[in-house]
Amino acid sequence: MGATGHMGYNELSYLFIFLPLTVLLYSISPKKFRKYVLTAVSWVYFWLCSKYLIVYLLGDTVFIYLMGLWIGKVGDSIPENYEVLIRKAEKSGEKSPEISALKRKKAFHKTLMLVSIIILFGILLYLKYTGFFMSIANRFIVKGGGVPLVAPTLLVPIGLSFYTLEAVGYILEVYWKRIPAEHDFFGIALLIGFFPQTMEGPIARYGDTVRQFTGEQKLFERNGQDMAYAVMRIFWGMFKKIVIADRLNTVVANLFDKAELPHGVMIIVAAVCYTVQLYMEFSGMMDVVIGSARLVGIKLPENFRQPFFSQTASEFWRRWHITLGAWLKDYVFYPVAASRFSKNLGKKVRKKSGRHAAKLATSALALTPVWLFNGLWHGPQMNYIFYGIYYLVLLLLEQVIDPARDAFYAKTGINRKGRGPTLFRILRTWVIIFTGELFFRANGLNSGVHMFLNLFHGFGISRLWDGSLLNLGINESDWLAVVLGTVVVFIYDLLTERGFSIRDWMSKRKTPVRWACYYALIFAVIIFGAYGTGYQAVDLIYAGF
Amino acid sequence: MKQTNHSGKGSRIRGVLFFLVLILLFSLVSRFFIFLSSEEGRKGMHMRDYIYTALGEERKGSLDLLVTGNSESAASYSPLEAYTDQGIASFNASAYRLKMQEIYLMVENTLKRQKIKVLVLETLSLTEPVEENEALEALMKGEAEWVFPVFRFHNIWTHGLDPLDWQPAMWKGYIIRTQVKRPKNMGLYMHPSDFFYDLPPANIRMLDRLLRLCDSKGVQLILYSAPSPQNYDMKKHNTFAKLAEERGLTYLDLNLLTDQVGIDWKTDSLDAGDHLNICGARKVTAYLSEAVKELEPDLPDRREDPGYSDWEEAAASYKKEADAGARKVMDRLAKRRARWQKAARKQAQGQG
Repeated sequence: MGATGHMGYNELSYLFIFLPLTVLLYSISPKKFRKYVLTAVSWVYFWLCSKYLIVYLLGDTVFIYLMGLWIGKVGDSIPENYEVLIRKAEKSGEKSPEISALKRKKAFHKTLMLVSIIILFGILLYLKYTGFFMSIANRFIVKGGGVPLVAPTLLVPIGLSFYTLEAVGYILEVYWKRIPAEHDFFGIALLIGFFPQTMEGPIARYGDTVRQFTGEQKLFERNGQDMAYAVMRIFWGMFKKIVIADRLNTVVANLFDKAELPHGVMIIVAAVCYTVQLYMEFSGMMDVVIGSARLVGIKLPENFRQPFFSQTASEFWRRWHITLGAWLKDYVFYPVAASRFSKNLGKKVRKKSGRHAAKLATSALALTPVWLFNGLWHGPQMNYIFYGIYYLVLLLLEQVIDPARDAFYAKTGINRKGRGPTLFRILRTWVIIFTGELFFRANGLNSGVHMFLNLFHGFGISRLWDGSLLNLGINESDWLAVVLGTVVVFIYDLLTERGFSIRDWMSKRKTPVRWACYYALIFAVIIFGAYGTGYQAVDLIYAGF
Repeated sequence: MKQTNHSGKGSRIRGVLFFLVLILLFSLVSRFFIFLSSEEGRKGMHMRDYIYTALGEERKGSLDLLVTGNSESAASYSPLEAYTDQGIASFNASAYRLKMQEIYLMVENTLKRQKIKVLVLETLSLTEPVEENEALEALMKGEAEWVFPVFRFHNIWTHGLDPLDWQPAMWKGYIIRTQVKRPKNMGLYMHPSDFFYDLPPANIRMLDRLLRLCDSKGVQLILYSAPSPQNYDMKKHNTFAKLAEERGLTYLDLNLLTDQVGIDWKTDSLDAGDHLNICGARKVTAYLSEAVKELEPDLPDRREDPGYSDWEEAAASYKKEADAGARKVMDRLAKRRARWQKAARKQAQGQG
């Protein structure tokens, strides 16, 4: 159970004071006042985490609310058949004042959208990336004999990277007329400020939550059993976080943060431990977040779907941090892929080199900004950018070898859906994931490269059983808790992957059996959790992005 | 098929029942963990829990004085020394980096079993960095640990897998330390200054809460600073003196009284002026227990009390160990001196 400067979702003050009070307040409020209650507690939560930096959130809320209305209003005055009208006018050579006014309106509509996005991303870039860009600029300035710039110290409000994406998504959806501009201010306030999402997402879209906030949509019945399920989901998340992830944090720090970097088999240990830690922590906190939201009648989108059963890197990204992947797909990939430039490029390449090459070229064009954005979104560090490029290259490689792979299966007659090939693909994806996370966690790109190269020096596999693992800051009992805990989570994921719903199974059990399961989970967290004397509280990893 | 009613009154009753059973289970599991924490389970226990467990085992109503704080008081006050010198029945409930929030809860819970007359708080705990939210977390965790000890002893299952078959002998909370290392240089130790040290507001609030608790229970609260050139300076002294004055508390800064206490930095420091060893602790205890006796004359002398015969036995055993510890300190110093002399002779011969 952590102890950070802000109230993390794993902290007692959140779980046993803030959340119960919120649920109580929500439950006793008349339905029509609930959105006000949720907005008030969300802002209180934000204030508790970021104090006066709440002005950024409030500013963004007012800004996107007004801009959304404005963009919506201008958009409404542009007819649906705008493109047809313009094309007709161009064909006939007609230069009527109506058509000119329409064009101006369309341009103004676009300008409003662009200004909104530039301002929203501008705040993010200024607060989070000024130092990074200055350090790049300083390299050239110093080379040219100039005086290096001094980066200002800027405080970043909690969750800025997450709610900026939500805000930009909303503006784009209104601009594209996929949704009407929201007239309820509190719907917008909660879209970007709903307290369980503040720190680590999930990055919700208008369609996911806003109508639930405003009371127009009800996705589930908030009854006793559902509340019990929500509470148990919170405990399940805490199990992943404090039984597994917090123990591995010590191991990971010992392997990545020491001056002398490990080598050989210990690099594999480092990559695997960090990947497991990140999954347990991030998915565990998502369980807490989704459970918390459910307690106040809101269904949030899932962010993980058994990612370690993925058979390719692209499938992994459809199962891991799903809402970020979906955001990038909808607001970066598709607009680029549907652009005139991309279409022309596709046509040209198809003529010259065939359909496969054209598909590859357009994919490369659309995926490049997606992955650069993904890397940079995690923070202003070269290893994050490398992480994005790493997946870009892998995804393009997947497409390059597609025909060869199909030919291989056709020639050998091997059933590609058979157990062996499936297992092989899953294990291959694990190698890809672990390698990516090695660079992602490393202290800078140099350190990542150094560690990767160290894998090939003095492998020393015997260090897995000669007691070396006990010199990484945790003892036998901690390792046992980590391994058994991971096995339990793996079995849960496996059952879910095979379509078995633990929730449905539980709901069919008699009360004593169901309660026994609940108590077992609660005591597993309490007895096997890494907290109290001898353990260091661990901050939430994704809250730092 | 009969439909289960998951809403309304039935659901609320089930919810309440669930929590009642949960609380019952917490109590039962806590009792089981307390059972495990006695004897074998104590091996491998972290020092704070080890001390709290020992404190909880003191006979009800047997303690008159409680000393608490972080490692500074842990190393500088020996209760059985005070018993031998002044007949004071005391306990040293101090541990490394103990937070003010933990101290408050420990005192609050100890006062339920003990009729403490004087509480002596070592001041360095007030400087422990703690943010507002951390203070709340510490209070909540501490409260949970006192109400349901399973939260404190939950790690006991690990002792079976990683047996630590050794725990230092504890004498009413004090552990004899025999290492010796003099401070390299005293720097600006207690040089005059008009400046003040910034204490975390959460700690000051906790001190005030502790003071209110003491007032309500008729306990006299005394502040003291253990001699420690690594941790104390006049900035801190000014701060604590002001804090004590504003609250009408007695504050004994032994860093300004090292001559009266008789501290010899060559022999009394454990680790270069951070903590005291057994020699230093004996001197501080002698001075402090005498001062406390003067400040609280009603503090009973338990040496003649037949109910304290076990203390007599403990004090006799302790004395043997403490004397042996003090001799060990002197032996270490003598050996070190001999090594230096030998090295100096070698060097002189080489030059010759």
